[in-house]
Amino acid sequence: MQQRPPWLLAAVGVAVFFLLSTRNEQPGPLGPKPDGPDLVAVFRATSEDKATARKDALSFGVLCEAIASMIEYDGRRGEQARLLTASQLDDLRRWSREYYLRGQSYNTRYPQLGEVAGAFLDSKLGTAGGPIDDSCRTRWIEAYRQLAKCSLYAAENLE
Amino acid sequence: MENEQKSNAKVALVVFIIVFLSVFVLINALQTKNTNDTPAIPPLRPIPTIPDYDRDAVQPGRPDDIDKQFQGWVPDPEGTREFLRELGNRAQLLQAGPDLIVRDNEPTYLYRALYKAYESYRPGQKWIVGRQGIGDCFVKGTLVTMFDGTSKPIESILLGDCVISHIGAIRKVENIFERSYTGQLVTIRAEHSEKAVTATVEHKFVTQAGWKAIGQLTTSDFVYLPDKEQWSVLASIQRKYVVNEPVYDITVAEDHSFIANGYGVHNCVSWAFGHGADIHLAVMYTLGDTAEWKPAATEAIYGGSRVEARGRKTGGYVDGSYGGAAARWLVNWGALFRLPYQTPNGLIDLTQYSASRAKDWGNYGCGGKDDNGYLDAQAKRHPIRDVTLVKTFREAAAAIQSGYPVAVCSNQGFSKTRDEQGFARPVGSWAHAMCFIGVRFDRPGLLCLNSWSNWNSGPKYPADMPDGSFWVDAKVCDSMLGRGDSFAISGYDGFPYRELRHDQWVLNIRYVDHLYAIAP
Repeated sequence: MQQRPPWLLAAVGVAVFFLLSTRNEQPGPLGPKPDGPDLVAVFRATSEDKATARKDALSFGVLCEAIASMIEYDGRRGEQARLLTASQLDDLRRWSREYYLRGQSYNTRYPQLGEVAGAFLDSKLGTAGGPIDDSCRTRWIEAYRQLAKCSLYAAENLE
Repeated sequence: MENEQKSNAKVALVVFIIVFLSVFVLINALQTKNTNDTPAIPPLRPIPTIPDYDRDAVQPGRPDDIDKQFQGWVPDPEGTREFLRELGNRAQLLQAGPDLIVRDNEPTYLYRALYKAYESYRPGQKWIVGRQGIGDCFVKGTLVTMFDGTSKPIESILLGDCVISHIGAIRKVENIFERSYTGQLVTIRAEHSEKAVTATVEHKFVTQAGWKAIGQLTTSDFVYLPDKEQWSVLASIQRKYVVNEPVYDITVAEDHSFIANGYGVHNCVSWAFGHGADIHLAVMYTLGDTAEWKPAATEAIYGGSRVEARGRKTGGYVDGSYGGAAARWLVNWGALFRLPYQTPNGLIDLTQYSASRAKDWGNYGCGGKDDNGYLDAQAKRHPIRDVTLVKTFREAAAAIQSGYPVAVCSNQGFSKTRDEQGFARPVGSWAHAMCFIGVRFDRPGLLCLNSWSNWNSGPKYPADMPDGSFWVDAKVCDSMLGRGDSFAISGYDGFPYRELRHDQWVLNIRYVDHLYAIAP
């Protein structure tokens, strides 16, 4: 068997490294169960139709990720940022869900979702509706990313 | 040959790696530049279809135009920007300014926000224009000083009668009000006065111990007699409970004041700006920008606009103010509310409008003679963020569409009868202040709220428009606003933010709860 020259192995290694690092900028595989609320139980417990439950978990995850991205995007606008209070973030998520579901509610099929997600957000964000600083904004982004991960994990693990 | 092939392969691989790395570095550089200049729109996952939800179904009461405004915000960057802009418009309330643009030709009725806010403030009660303004009424027999120095009972005053205003001018009576009152009437007479005064129980009088409701006075209290400019101990107090007793008030042209047993003043500028502040706060409340709504006390606006806002020490007892001064007061100081205020000089109860207090504060400024700026400091806790001069119908329409009422001061008078579309014909001359609180474009015009309550009649459009209001044609609005003393009111500081309910946002909400007044 012909031995590969070391420079070739190094070159391939560099290429693979860059390819992987580029791939990591896109949404990657979900991996192990994320920290956060157990949304598998929430979506599993109340839906007889597993296919629907998977779709709904996926849509909830996408919604949470979108909310996190919106808050992050707005925060990077510096002085032009619009979302300056927690009350406005509350409006953002309400209107987002309202628009996304065209006036429908996840509560219809998953009555525990509000309570479970709410308890998680309570612990991460508190309940003050006033002005937010960068630290608070980051907490919102991280909390909604975490919620998104939990929901997407649920979508892939509902049986 | 084999060595040559190996060499070519080496060269090809090196070239490949160099090109690969160059492209990678270039992409990263572009992304970095993009981040530094304008934040990149975050990548969003494609939205999965949700066939089980009826995405085309629109909830009852949900305005269709929201679909247009929010269309596509989730999946595409432009939509994201649009959404944030819309969010800014609605949640943050953009500052009113000269770039106000009429968004569309949809009517807007800001008073509906006030109805909603008032329901939470006084559960089970509906907001009625002038409710706080009719706290001080006069009983039958109260003598009004006529133009020739004679006196006439208030119930005998006729439209067109001429009376003496507080500035000593002869003014024409333009409206007469009568309401039915059930409650306590109190009659007091001071030792050094042959005149007795009877008023509804909430009427406040100035005493040496501070302001007191007439119902709380005792014979050890000293009251002030304006006509004699002296303090006098009370000689007698009589109380009577009445059921459906008629009580009276009148409005007078230009000065809007008259002399009734030494009391009584009606100030329109403070009411116009008070309505404006109340309605704008109601808009903020319905948007969720505040967790609280409470009506402004007009006496403070009146006194502040006459004294503090003009840099005076006293304003005198000659009545009147102007829009610019009221605007300056609200921005540089702020609002007091219909609440009791505990001050170093005792309790000042502003829960009911008091004409006598307005008159006193009109001379001494907000808080009265010995306040020493205490209530001025209280007012500064709730300033209006911005007042913007509005000179045309289009500017006023844009302000109203953004949730900002417009306090309007002009000389334009109007007929007492609305036409079939709810418009009032311009007629006569009033040196008066009112408030524009709605806009329509089918027949372009602004809805004008007058503090005189039930002074006019005729068809309403929409059916829930407030009593006392009327539509004004756009051309007439241009004329009124062109005088340069009318202001849009925007932003109101110092109110508590609502507590978040993290378990609620996934639940269904009535969409209209978050929209202030877009017409159905």
